[in-house]
Amino acid sequence: MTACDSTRKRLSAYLDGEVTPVECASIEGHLAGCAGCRTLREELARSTQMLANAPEPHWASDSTDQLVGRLRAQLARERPAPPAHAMAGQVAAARDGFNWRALVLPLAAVVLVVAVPGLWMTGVRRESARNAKAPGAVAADAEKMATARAVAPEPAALAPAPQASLAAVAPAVTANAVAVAAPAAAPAEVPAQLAQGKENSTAAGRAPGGGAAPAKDVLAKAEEPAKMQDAGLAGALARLEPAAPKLASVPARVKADVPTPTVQPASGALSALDIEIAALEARMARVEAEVSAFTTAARGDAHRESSQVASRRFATWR
Amino acid sequence: MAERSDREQALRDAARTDEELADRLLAGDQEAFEVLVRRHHGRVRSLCYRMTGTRADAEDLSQETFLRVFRHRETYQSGRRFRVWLDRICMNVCLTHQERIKRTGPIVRLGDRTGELPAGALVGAAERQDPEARAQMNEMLKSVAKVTQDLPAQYRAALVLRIFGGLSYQEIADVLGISMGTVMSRINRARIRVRNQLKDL
Repeated sequence: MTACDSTRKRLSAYLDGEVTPVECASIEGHLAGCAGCRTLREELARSTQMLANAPEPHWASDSTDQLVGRLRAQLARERPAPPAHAMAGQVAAARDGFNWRALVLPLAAVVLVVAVPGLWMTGVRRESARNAKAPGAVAADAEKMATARAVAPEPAALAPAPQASLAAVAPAVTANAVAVAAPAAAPAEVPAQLAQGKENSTAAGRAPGGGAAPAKDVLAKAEEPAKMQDAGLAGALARLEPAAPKLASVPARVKADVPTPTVQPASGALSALDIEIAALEARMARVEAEVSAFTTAARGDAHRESSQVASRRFATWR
Repeated sequence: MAERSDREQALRDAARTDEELADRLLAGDQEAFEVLVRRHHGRVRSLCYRMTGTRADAEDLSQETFLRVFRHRETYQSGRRFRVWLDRICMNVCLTHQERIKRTGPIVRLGDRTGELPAGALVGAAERQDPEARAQMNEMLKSVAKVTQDLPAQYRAALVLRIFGGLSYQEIADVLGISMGTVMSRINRARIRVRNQLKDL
């Protein structure tokens, strides 16, 4: 390969600045002494320039907007296509969903027919046990629960209220502990904590509206998570409540556990709790009614009959 | 208020890189897609025009390019340069179009014959004032356009990407899926062909 061939092969890359410095030096060295290659370089540069300068047609100034509009329309037309499968799937799913829903009742009936005798038996046992236990046993249970709760919040109860206000912003668990601890703590401690809260809150430059404001804040905030976690407990307490009037001996601490007392400002949260308790009670009542209905139904010869009904319904719905 | 937040959104989108927008496009975000279309339409259309030589084809093929961008968005690999991916789609669209034309013959549209430049195509040319010079210039431009069209498609693609796309040789190699050496030789051969045809002008 001659020096000219080697240079001409790389002349475009040289013009485009795509050669290494070493190559560049060698090409320029050759061009300096070769008129033919120099001419070619000029012609290549000129023709490239002509190509690059060739103007484009005059495009409409809104052509990009038009394109975006066309793309939108086209993609909107296409979108129903993949969703067409999805839609078909949805229709199928809706059909399936209907079938499933139709299946739920017969299936539930079957399950109950099988399960109710067992439930009924245990129900009888439980009822008799409850009769035997109340009221002393319930009181004992309540006491156990109260101690269990009192043990958990202890570290937080020892902590001063202002720290609790920090804790309320931080993990809900601690806040919960504080909320539980506050009513459970000895009544004498509460004013002390509130007073301390006042001192610290003014020192911290917080709005001093009402002496115990920060501590109340803490409690109000703390009630929220506490409310959720206490829901189960509240349910248990609600169940105990019918027996409560009879239980004069229930320790004061247990009563304090239902977070109504001493601290007033949390009333919003408390009324929410009340509503929840009421809802839980209503649900309990419904469940009990259902169970007793099924128990009655299951007692007679209803077993065979209801399963027949179920399978007939199953057949028609299917 | 809504107008203002639209405007803010537009400004935020304008500040995003192609690759950020392409990541959103991957997730099917049509707004990001439209920002990318607006950003690259001019360039893609220009590439299509240089590849096909006609205005109507350029408009059709640039639209086809963006449709493919959206339809095949999942083929974009996050972290890769969006422009290389876009140009590859664009070149595939153009080359497929050339293949089709080669098989079935060109689609002749009214007033849009291959290589013809519409009246008033000269932008910023001093010759615009002088009819004779303008005619001469127009002739020359037609020849230039024809020269480009006469190149083998693969040579034209490399040359168009270099001259009108402003891509480096490495980027051209990535777009066309060929080696740097091949890019270098194709561009060089294309240039020499063009020079041979334009020598007399």
